[in-house]
This record gives sequence, structure tokens and C-alpha cells, in this order.
Amino acid sequence: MLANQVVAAFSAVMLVLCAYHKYKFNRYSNTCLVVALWLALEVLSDYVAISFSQTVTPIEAVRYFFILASASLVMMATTHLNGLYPKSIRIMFTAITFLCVSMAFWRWGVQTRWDSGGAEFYDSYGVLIDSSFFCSIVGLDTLMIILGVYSALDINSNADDGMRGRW
Amino acid sequence: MPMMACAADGDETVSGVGFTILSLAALIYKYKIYERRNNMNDKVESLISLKQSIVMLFAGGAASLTATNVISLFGMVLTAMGLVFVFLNWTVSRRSFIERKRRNDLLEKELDWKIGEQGKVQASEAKRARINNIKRGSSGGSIPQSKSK
Repeated sequence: MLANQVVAAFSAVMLVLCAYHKYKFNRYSNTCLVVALWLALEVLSDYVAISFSQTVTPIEAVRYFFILASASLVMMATTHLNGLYPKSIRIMFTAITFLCVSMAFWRWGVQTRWDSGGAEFYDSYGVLIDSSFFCSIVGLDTLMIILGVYSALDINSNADDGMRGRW
Repeated sequence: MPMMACAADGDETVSGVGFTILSLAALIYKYKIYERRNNMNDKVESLISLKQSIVMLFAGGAASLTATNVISLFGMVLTAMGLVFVFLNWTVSRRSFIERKRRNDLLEKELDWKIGEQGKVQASEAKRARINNIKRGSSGGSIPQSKSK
């Protein structure tokens, strides 16, 4: 829940930044907008699929990861086919799509076979796999936020093409 | 996903949806690389080169999501094959592209050569005309330097 609040806050701040740049300089960073929309989609897919619940049934888990993967796929198609976006953000969306689908496979596989060996397997490797997924998503989101904010800062230079130009 | 759940078994549904998403992701990724490496702006041609994989992808996805058990399983296999075909078709179309580029380069070379020959003929004609003018003494004491005069 805390993670969702942080992500939503970052999304709102970046959307406001884009709107402000549109108002002030009549242009905004595409990367910043895409990252803000992606963070909003992350929170939305969580809300739509499992309503921020911590304990989920296999069907709910699969639904959540597939909705997240579809959202990431849409962002991936946008960033790949448009040509306006940096290479790193394209790679990140590709990675998130593949990660989410493999997480759906993993959660479905282990939770539907819970009584026949799934529980033991989860006790051995489950925490490792789940937390590595969580950490990689958090890491990719952090990189995206850094990239989006930096490219947004690049917009507002009025003296030269460097960052932090005088306002 | 109630509609899909009554159409297929849970494992099949999950893997069908998952493979469809993975194939779409691979298709987008490969399509962009294809276009960029071939330095090609013709989107239609790159789509035509990937048409088998696109057809397999959509047919497989539709079959695995809507059909009953056996056909759904077949659709899942078809989708996975579409994923493989995206990778294979890439190399094939790359090879045919290299062949087309080679022929195109040859044609362009031939065209350059013909234009060069034509230019040589024109230059020698102009030179002959200038020499004739000088011989006839019709230049009025100054040698015309360019053809436009």
C-alpha cells in the first residue's frame, strides 16, 4: 500500500511537471509524460485487479500480472514504434513485460499446485522469487523516474542545451 | 476471466494469454530492430515480411482463447510457434533483404556508369565545338569558356 502511494505521488508530480512545462515553455518531455502515465497505470492495474489486497487467489494474481503486462505492452508499443523515446526506456518496458508474464506463470503454477508440492517449493524459493520480482520492478521504476525527471529538466533550459539553465 | 475459464483449462488459458503477450512483445521488438537495421522507411514491406508470424500469432491467440480444450491447446502451440517464427523469419527476411540490396546497388552502379558515359560524350562534343569555333575564328578573339554563352 505504501509503495502504491509513493508511486502515485511520483506519477502526480511528474504529470504536474509536464503540465507546467506545457504552460510555461509550450512544450514538454515525452519521456516524462510516458513515465508518469506508466506509474499511474501501475497503480490503476493494482486497483482494478486486486484492489491493493496483499493476499490473492491464483486467478487474482494471474489477472493482476496480465493486466500489468498488457499495460506494459501498450507502453512498449508506444515507445518502440514512435521514435521519440530513448533506448533505455524501450528496454525497460520490454523487460517489465517479460517479467510480468513470467511472474504470472510462476504464481499460477505454484498456487494451483499448493497442496501437491507447491507449498514446499514456495517455502524454499517463493520468497526469493517474489522479492527479486519486486526489487527489479522497483529498480526499473526508479531508473524510469530518474530518466523522466532528467529529460524534463532538460526542457527548461533557455540559455543553452544543458540542464539546469537559468529560468 | 470467466469466458476464457469455461473455454479452456486453467493452465492452458494462462499459458495462452502469456504466450500471446510474449509473442506480441517479441514482434514489436523485432519489427523495430528490422526496420532500423535495414534503414528502411517502408513500414508495409516490413509488415509483409513478418506476415506469417502475425497470422500465427493472432490465429493462435484467438483459438486458444475462444475454442474448447483440444483446439485451445492447438492454438497455444500455434502461438508458441508464432513466437519462434518471429525469430526465424527475421533471419530469412534479413537474407532476402541483403540480396535485394545487392541487386539494387548493382543497378545504381550501372545507372551511375551510364550517366558518366553520357557526361563524357557531352563534354567531348562541347570541346570539339569550341575547337571548331577557334579554328573558324568565329569567337571574336575571346575563347568561349562555357556552353551557356
